[in-house]
Amino acid sequence: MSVKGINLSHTYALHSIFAFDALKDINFEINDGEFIGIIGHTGSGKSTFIQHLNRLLSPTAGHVLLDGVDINGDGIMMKDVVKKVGVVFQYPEYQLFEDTIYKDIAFGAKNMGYEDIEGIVKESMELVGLDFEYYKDKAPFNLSGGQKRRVAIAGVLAMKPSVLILDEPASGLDPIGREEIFENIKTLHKKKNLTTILVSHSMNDISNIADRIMVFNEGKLEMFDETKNVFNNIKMLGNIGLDIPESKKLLLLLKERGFDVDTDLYKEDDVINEVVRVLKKG
Amino acid sequence: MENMISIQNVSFKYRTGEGMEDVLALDNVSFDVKKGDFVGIIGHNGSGKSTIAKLLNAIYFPLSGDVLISGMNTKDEENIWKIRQKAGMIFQNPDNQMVATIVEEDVAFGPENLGVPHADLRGRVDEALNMVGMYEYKDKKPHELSGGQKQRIAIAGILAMEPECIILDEPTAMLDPKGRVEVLNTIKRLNKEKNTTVVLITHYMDEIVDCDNIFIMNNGKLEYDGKPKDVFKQVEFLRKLRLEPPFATRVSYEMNKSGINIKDDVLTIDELAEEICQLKV
Repeated sequence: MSVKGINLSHTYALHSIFAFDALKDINFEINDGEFIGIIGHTGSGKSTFIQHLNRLLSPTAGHVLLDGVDINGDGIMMKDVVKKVGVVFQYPEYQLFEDTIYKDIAFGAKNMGYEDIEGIVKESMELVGLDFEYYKDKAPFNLSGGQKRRVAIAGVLAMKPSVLILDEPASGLDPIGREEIFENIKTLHKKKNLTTILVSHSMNDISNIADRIMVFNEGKLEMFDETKNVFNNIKMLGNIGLDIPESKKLLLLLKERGFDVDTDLYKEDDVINEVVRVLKKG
Repeated sequence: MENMISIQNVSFKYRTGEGMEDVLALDNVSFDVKKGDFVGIIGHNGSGKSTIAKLLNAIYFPLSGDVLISGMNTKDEENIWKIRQKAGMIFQNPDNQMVATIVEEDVAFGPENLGVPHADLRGRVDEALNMVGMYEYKDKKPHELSGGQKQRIAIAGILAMEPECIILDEPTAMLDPKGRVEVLNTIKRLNKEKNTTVVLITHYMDEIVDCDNIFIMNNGKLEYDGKPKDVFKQVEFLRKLRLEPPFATRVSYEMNKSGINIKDDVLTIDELAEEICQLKV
């Protein structure tokens, strides 16, 4: 499903002395099945932005279109939007509330009016790597942090979204937990051709997974381009409190020292291969 | 060198409720932290890291064994306030740690409660704010600050109590890259300039590459402790414990696997780049 924004703006406390422009005239187009990364410092407008994509907030000016349809248009129900765009907020495990994992994951799907809830729950659990039989009757509160988070993500997947938005899905997880969650997200994206939007403060994580990156700064969409091009704008990123991945920094250090490395690379595996290649050649 | 912290044969259990088995969170853990050291505690989710932090601050008490802060046992009730003054705590979420509506009042909260005379309060608050580089923000409201700034205010609030030790439980987990750097630099400076003992609990290995000692927790036990260079080169061992070495160490590990002989204990990309240059010569 494609997502498009036309002159999207949002002012908090509009028409008051506290009025604050959180989003300023944002135009963008995300294609069906793309994997988008969102970066920006605290307060840059990222959270306000993603809340517009499932209509938790409505623009104070401009439009958000899903497959060409204005989600704030006449006759569009909130339910229709929530069905299409699933959002996994930060620390989603705090939102688990049912006494079994099955019930927690089923909650949203039931509200959507789906049939074969059991089948849906089963599939959602498989997608995030939780064994259905083993976990379904367990209480979600006794799980580890990473597992709880998977339950929360499965609950969103059970609503069968076409667009999946994840806000810092790995924060607070141990290093292997981070890797596992990102592997899950990658697999999901491939298997279901889900349009996926990932918000993260980790340039390393974003660089390993995103096709294109949106850079937010002071409520504006500062840049929206292929990952490679965004990370080539080192100065701009530094100016707005962001950074480039360590992998790319290594290549730049080697280039400075006279090695003939391709500094356009940024994915960890590619960078390691490049270093090995250059050394073996020389 | 004198011990700031001494954990001796400590076990701890969480009660999970009627009819359910208690969870053994710490299983006979012992280690010491010397005065003025900067140590890291790492381990998988649920390994017992945060439980240790709460034991150090006398929020929890050991089921068996002893926790000594500057020689004072947390079990002795009369020590509790002295311990909390000596060993300050910083948590993950800066928003949960602000108590006042103005920055300088927030910083003054701790020392005021310790009964610091009013005449000394101003000086303490100003010094603490200067130390974290936030003096110009003293009249701001918390919501006007970024996450990293709020976390530095929380640290200033601890500093104003003139602690000998700071325990930080994932202080950068919710911060953007700039905020992370700000907070880390502040902690490192405190350790160097004021000789404050630092215990940093983290999932980010790059934050502790230059610390004095690393303790690895695994399922409630102290699995290993050592210098960063000795700890991080053990890539497979770390992965078994659900941990990952820093990026530079991972690269040197993969290079060795590909048949390029390079030092296996590099911790930063600068070090790695230097080593790669050596290979070429």
